Amino acid sequence: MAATRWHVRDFFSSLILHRGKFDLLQIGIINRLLKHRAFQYAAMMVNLFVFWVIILSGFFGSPVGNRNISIVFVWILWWFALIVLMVPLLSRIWCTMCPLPAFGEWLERRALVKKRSAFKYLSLRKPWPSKLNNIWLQNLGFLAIATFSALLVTRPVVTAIVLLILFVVPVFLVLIYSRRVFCRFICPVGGFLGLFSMFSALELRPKDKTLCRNHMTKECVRGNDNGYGCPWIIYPGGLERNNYCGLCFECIKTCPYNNLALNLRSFGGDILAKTGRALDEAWKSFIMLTLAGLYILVMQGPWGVLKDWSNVFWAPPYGWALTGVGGFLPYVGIFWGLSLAVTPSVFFLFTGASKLASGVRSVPLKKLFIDFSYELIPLALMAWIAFSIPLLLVNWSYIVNALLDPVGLGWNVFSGLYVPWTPLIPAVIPYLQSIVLAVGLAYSIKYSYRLAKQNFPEGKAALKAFLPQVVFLTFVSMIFLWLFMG
Amino acid sequence: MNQTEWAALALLVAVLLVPSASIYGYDLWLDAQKLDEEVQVVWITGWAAENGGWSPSEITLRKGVPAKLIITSADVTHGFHVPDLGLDSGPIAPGHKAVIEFVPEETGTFTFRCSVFCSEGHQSMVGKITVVE
Repeated sequence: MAATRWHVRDFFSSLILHRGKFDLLQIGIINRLLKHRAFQYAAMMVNLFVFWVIILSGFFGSPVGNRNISIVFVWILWWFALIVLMVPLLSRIWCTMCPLPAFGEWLERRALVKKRSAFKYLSLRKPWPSKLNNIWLQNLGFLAIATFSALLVTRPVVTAIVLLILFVVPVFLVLIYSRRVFCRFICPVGGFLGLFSMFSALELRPKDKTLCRNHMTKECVRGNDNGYGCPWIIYPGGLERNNYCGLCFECIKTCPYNNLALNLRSFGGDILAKTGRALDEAWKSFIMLTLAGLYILVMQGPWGVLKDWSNVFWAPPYGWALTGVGGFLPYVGIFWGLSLAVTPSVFFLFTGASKLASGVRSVPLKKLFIDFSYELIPLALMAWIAFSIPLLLVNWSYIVNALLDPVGLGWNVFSGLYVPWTPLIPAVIPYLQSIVLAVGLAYSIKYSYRLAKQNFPEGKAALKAFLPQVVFLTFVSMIFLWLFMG
Repeated sequence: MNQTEWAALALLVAVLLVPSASIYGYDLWLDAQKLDEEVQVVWITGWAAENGGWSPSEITLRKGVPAKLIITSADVTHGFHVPDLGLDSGPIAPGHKAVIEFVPEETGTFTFRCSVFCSEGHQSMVGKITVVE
């Protein structure tokens, strides 16, 4: 009992007071659970069941979005749980239980639970093209899906088709390239999960890197009788950031020295990590920050014309329905142009101002641009959280009704029970959103200064370089504040 | 394969089959109800004309057999109106449904249309009921 109390105290001290790190694997039940071979299978099966119901419901259920579990569960409940709870608190824990790559992985391993001791992978095991060894495909894939989000979040059949595609694609990819190339390089959700998990309060790390470096057989990469080599194609012994660790916990099973820790840590722990910084991740920040604003503007703003522009679809014999492509094409232009060009350009100008203000010429502008882009992560994440708050508070009754009648065709599991649409505290929501945004701004400013210190360690140059960044962050926050408060 | 793998495989099959069978079974149950009650049940979904209009837009019923039309609206408020048969659902809000029960007593083709102004294409939101012997 005394040991348990100690764990609880350390747990809260690490998470809330930001005092050091606490290894969750010290807790016996978590250790045993994560080392059990059936753990990931069980987690995937629960979600496979839910997603399969969602797909069936999308195809065969009510075409009315708020009556169909495929819209209500995916775009209200799952999204809220993912962005508000899982990513900030538990890093990429969704990847642990995501069922999308399950069939591919099971097929390749020719096993569901057990580690086969001697076998040949069912895959051509071609090397992933080196030019695509980044998250550009994820950036573009996410933008492409987001472009059609008005359809996705209102038409159950569209959600079902997209999910079905996301189930099929990993199977083909695994047969050609092996392992989790889909999750690493393609999955449109994986890109932003990786970026935002840098802010998360959870990390998987080696306890002693020297031990890993000197360990010749590297079971975490090669696998052994206890588990597979890292399916995410990374070297767990050298982990410094959360971005590409999908928390499958195979390395915990394979490490002969129990040299891995699942740490609770302070928020934003990876933002200062110098390894792996690159333009693809910088652009991910710009995309996520811009899309948060655009989503709030289009989906939660009072401008109906924007909703009409985004809601494009082909309906014979009427052609492009509602407003036609005449409204959609400018919408796409604004969507892609702002995300890929305008926001990065404005940020580039502010970065240039930072360099000029610092008076230091030796630091390349490109490096500054990339490094400072990581300061956007807390603000972008909090903007998405702020966007997600009304999704749940306003639409919670749809979740209850979808549970009672999952396909929306009148099953009515508990006959007669129906919860009318009752938004919760709608007048308070803008204030909640503003508070969340303020937290994001505070973290972004904190990390902006520390990133400046990394680049300009001497004298007052860091402070001078930091000021234009504060102006940029405040300017962006004011735009969000205007969107929330009107 | 050892026991664990067999159990895991069985669970996987169950996870995929149970929801599929439930939805298919519900459809069968609806069909069976139709036969038991000797009622012609037709589900009709209203979409604004620009979104596709009535689905289905052509319905065939048998004369003298009781009919039950279950009408839902998928996007905006619609109304189901068959002037020549004297049928009118009144406004149907999105996600809600209206049920009209009647017995077709004469053969012929009867036009149904939306009775609530729903979009610019409202006038073209029409369909037809054909009553056959």
